[in-house]
Amino acid sequence: MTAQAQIGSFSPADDSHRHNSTLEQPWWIYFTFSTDHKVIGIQYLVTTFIFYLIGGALAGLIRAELYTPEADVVGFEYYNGIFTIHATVMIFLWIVPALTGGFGNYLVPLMIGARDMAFPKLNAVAFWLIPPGGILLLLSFFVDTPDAGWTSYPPLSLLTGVVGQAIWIMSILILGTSSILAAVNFTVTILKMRIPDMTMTDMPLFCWAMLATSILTLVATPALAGALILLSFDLLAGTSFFNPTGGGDPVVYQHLFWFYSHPAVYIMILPVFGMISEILPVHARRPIFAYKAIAYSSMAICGLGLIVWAHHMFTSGTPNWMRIFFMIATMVIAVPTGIKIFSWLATLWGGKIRYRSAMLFGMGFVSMFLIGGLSGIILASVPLDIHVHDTYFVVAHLHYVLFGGSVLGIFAGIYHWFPKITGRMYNELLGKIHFALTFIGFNLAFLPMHKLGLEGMPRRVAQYDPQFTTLNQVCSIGTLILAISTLPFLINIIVSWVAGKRAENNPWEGLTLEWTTSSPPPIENFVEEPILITGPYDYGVHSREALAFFKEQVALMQKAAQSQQPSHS
Amino acid sequence: MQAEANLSAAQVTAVAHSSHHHHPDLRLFGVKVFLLAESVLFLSLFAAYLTFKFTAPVWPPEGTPERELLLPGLNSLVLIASSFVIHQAEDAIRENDVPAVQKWFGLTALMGMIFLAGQAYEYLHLEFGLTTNLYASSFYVLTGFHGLHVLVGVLLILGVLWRSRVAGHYSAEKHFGIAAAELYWHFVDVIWIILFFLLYIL
Amino acid sequence: MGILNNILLVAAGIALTLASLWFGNNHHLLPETAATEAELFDGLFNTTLVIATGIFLVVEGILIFCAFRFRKPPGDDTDGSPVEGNILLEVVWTAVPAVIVLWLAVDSFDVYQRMQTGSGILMLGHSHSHSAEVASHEASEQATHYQEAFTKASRPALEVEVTGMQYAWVFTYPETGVVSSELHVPAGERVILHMTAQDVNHAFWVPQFRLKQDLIAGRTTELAFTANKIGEYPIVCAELCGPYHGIMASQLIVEDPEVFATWQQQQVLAMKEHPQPIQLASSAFAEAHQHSLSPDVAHHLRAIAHH
Repeated sequence: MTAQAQIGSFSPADDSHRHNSTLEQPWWIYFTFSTDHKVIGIQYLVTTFIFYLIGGALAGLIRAELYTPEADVVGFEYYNGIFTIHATVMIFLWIVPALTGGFGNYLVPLMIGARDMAFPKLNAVAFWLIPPGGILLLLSFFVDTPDAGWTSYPPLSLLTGVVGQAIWIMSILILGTSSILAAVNFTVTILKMRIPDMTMTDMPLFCWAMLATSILTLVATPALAGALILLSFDLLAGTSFFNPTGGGDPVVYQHLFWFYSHPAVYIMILPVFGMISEILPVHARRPIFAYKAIAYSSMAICGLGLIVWAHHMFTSGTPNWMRIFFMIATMVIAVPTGIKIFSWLATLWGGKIRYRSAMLFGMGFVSMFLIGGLSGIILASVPLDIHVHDTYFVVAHLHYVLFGGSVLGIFAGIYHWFPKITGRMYNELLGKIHFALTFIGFNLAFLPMHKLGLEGMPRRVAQYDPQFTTLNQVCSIGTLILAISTLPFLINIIVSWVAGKRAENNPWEGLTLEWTTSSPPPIENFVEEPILITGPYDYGVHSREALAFFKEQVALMQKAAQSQQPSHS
Repeated sequence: MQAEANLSAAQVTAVAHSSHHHHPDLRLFGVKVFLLAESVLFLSLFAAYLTFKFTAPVWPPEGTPERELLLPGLNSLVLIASSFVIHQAEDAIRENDVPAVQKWFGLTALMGMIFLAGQAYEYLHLEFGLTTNLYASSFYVLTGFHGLHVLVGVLLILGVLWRSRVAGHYSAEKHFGIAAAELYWHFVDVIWIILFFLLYIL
Repeated sequence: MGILNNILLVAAGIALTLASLWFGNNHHLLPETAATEAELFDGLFNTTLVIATGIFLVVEGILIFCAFRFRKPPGDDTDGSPVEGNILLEVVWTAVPAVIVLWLAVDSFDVYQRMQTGSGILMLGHSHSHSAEVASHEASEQATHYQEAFTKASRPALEVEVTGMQYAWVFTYPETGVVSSELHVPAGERVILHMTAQDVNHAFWVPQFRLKQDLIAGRTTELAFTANKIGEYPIVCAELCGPYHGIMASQLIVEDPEVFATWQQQQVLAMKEHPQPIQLASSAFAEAHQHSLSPDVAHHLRAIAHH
């Protein structure tokens, strides 16, 4: 049965099949300190998705407030707290942990033929730091909300509520620790746990992307910790590192903050680049174009990403030589990013594209991320940035990168690996409705913001000049459509997970190693260590033979698993 | 990429029989990667300190009491020496000589505690407090943060000593705990040398 | 067939170039310009937008073309052609963007320097290569007029001290001692602002000037411009400065130099008659702007000021 035949409707679960399987974990395992990377990956994905819904609800409040020029819905008092938490949740509790913790955990060991991550317990610790960090942050709503923005620039962050700001710092330190621990794990796993046959250039591109991401996390996140440690002393102990009244310098904070927070953008997009490089070849049935260029451009972005931070500070009175250096470095990042986009286009060219939900989101990602990249070039130019800095143009840019880029990519990844993760098929029709609503809602919500910013609307305001009303209303309506778009997704995912049609082991006929095991994979992934009989993207070369071989391999594996079953249960 | 594949039946059987490749102990490599991140944390604090120093008209700011160099100098010597002491333990464990490891680790822990006591003494006798000025704040935060790392290092060493009671827990082949504690101790030591140079000499 | 394809390709290229050029110069995304710096900005922005539009059309065009041309034919379960790369293509799409961005960086730097030194003024009279289409013919003539006046007189720049405090702007003219909550400047003259923040960071932004500079607590920052069009323009705070950040606004009034001189004299006289404390607190700001604020906001501001 081909994957095409499965599209269209839910079919009742085949229950006789269900209890036969020794491969599924009981439901309660997801509430335990499991050290299985697949359990942890699912824990990350589900937890972070809940935070996404919370962050999205806050975005809804923001757009409701901005539907009219007056501050009449949430009011001045609460507005800043709402956008501060919105940004913090979306960055630290959704995109970063969903990509690295969620997809990284689930896929990296499978893709390199490993049984688990290098340090399974550390992995579980990294995950279990996320819920307390997130809950702590959200509890601040009940005491004192941090409201100096997710950037928390002093002196403002020292003058708003002490309790809220302290909670924010604590929460970010917890989440940052989690992120560093996960990065240690990925670095070691990717460098040292590959099956012996697999050289670095045999690795799937997602693994390259995760390696680059992890290096960035290791080198950049501690700088944020340093900044926050000093900020907390200013806040709680009365020092004045960043407080000019005591001789400190608020700009030093900005440097330390952006030394992390610009690379953080790449932490949020590199794994998506990796996933897109996996998804496009499978559904276009073509080898990825220019494998090495894509792999090395990830590393180039990792390196360059560390030396562009001050482009966030072009209006901060930064010295001229610094502005020039950071402008050029920032512009140069467009080159490796362009290499990726052109290579993806060349991958599609001459393919035989299958329009499944994963592919729609994947191609949607390319088209939307491009816009974020182009507005990024405008922001990189010092004189142009001076006008649009801290305006709605920046809000538009960052959402094209982080929503049009990261979030569309996350959805592409969820659809692509859903059969592998759950062992069940999702409903294609609902997936396509989800894509259409997301695409329309997203562009309505964020495209007009470019014009708003250029015309003179600053960001982070609850009240604005009435001349901007119409465009703001379009943005708010777009946000409503975006909110509605999550409904078909949620229905699809929940119903399919419980009662979806059984998935084949390799429904998309992919060639990376996660497709050589069962869906879902057994504990420790492979009964026998897989051998590398094909490159990850050898479509049209010898994919038929390889796929047939995969089938035999899984059959052998399942046979072995069944013969082991009596001794287990 | 593995372009050529010969998918003979014989190979399929070979797959079924091949066993999982055994990975060597990766924990020490993990510790090294973690210390990379730790060093960036210290680097960020050093960078902030240097910026404060070089943008200030006078440094330390006027009115900062003179710092005494004798005690911190001696303290530094103790810490630097302890790195050589702990290194003896590695040679010892290669010879499977656990009692010698215990001796050297015990001595290192003692030296670490002397350092901490020295620092506590210095804190109590300094004429400036945490919020006196930017130099004072930097001084306390940097040395305090480093002191916290020394404390962690001492605890790690004591943990290794505790575990070494069990015969055969550490051997020439298997001594991750010893290697990790030593590596961490060297790291703490190197950070102190930079810190001492920045705060007392520069 | 090959010739037809080539012709189509060339035609597409021409159409694309024309479309990019047209959009880059007719985008209506920016407000009117009122300073020479703004014209420099618009020139660079339009150039950048032409390039961005071109790249956008190429990439989205290929993507959409692929989406239709290379969809799986019904019943075909085979794979696409196994091409793994093409060195020439890869070199081209690495080198061309590299050249474009480096050229943009150099151009940006050039524009930036001219904005800073005010030498954009000298360019305005005779060079239109960089300045976008000036808002209107009249404005252009007006600009040239002030331009000439400026070069003839070559007066030193007018210096104004700007203080930002939570939700208000204070402008002090050190030569005359005039203090105002609105910024009056003469058209055609170079103005230099020396800016400090009293409490938290703020940012001084005039969209019609395309200029923005942060006010940083504990530092003095500077911003220079030459206004060239008489009118009133909003001054917007662009750096988050607290709950009422959104209403921290004032007016920048560009006047004919004679009108400006009269205004200054009146202010000096008024100060002599009613000596006021220099301190302009938020409450004064709220009073002054009561008409433009909703009553509860004004009330809030007064509450803050009294706090």
